[in-house]
Amino acid sequence: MRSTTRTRTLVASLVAVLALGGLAACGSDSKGSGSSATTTGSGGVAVTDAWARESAMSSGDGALYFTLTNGGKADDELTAVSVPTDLASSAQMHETVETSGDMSTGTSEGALSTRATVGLVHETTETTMAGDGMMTMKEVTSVTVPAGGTVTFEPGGYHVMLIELAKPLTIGQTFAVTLTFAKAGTIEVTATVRAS
Amino acid sequence: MKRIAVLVLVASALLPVAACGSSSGSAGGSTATTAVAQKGYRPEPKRKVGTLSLADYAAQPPGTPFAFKAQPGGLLLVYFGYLSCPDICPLTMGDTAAALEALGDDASKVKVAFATVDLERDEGADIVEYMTHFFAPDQFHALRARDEYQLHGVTYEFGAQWSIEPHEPGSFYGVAHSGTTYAVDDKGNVVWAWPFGTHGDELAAGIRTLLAETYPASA
Repeated sequence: MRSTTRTRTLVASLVAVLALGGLAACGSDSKGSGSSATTTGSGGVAVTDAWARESAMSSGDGALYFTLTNGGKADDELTAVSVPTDLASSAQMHETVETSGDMSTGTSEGALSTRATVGLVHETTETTMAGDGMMTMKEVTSVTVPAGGTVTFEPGGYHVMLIELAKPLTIGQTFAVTLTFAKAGTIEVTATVRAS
Repeated sequence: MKRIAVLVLVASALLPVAACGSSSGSAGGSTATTAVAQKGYRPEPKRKVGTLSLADYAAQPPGTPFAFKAQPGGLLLVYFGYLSCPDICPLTMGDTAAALEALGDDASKVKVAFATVDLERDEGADIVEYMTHFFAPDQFHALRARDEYQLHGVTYEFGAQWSIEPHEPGSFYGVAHSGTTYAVDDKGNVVWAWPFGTHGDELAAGIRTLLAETYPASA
């Protein structure tokens, strides 16, 4: 428990530094992209660097990422993302989150209550062990892009899950992505498949 | 305000790094020999996993039990994940593959074991297909427990967590799991745990440090 308290203090003091570190790292990842097209909607929102990871398996799901920049004076909201049905059966906005696993909590009850507080499943039948913190995906229905701000969909954060790919994604492949915003309306961009 | 929420989440995803960095720093002794503080932590007390084994579908014949021990003088990297994980598992495997590439000749001392926590969906041959996307055939082990009791027994000793969302048979379900990569030495001790989000170059530097610390005579 003591570690949890210390952890919280650290979060407060390190949020800025860590967050910047994460964004910087992601920025460098994005440089390898061949897709640099910027598409701006009527509301001042731009979508850049749309990419999806090359499939590791011959079947399964995929992940799509992009950067949203709001050059306008009002917040906007990404409410839906879709891809052609011959690419994937559906697309869902997800966020990868870490549940606060606590090494000092040795009981599965402790782990279960932790999970309940982050809004995940709370049935008692699930199998849970205590130990290193867990990562999981949470579906999100909208993402706010603040006025003058940027939101990056990136590995380990927000992503669009491409459910049931019709075919594996291969490097260099491109496909259309339609993003719907509350104010900017619909923006279509082309995503490129790459390794990372 | 959502953006702030994102930043907090980014930070909280990295939070074990900060927490562990600070606690290993204050613990002194065990990590004091590390020249450059690396991400992650050295489990104390020692976690012994060398007597545990899981079926390895990359072995011949497929399903041969594999004990959690590195080859002599080497390191075994162990990750507990699942194959339909679209975001963090391929990211970590990609970073791990980049680390092996950066290690050059030292890469031959390192093997990577992926153990699925999703026994309902992931078959042994699927894990082999998945790992082949990232690694050369002699670089990996594709592990699958026969049931969740055996899996619990293994993950408990590593200090890894996993959780399967309750679901109707055949319907979609979510999986939560520790994003940690564990390093095991040739005696079967867990010598390091890297958190999710450790980049390939950081892993490579960490592996070099661990090889030198774990096997000082051969360094």
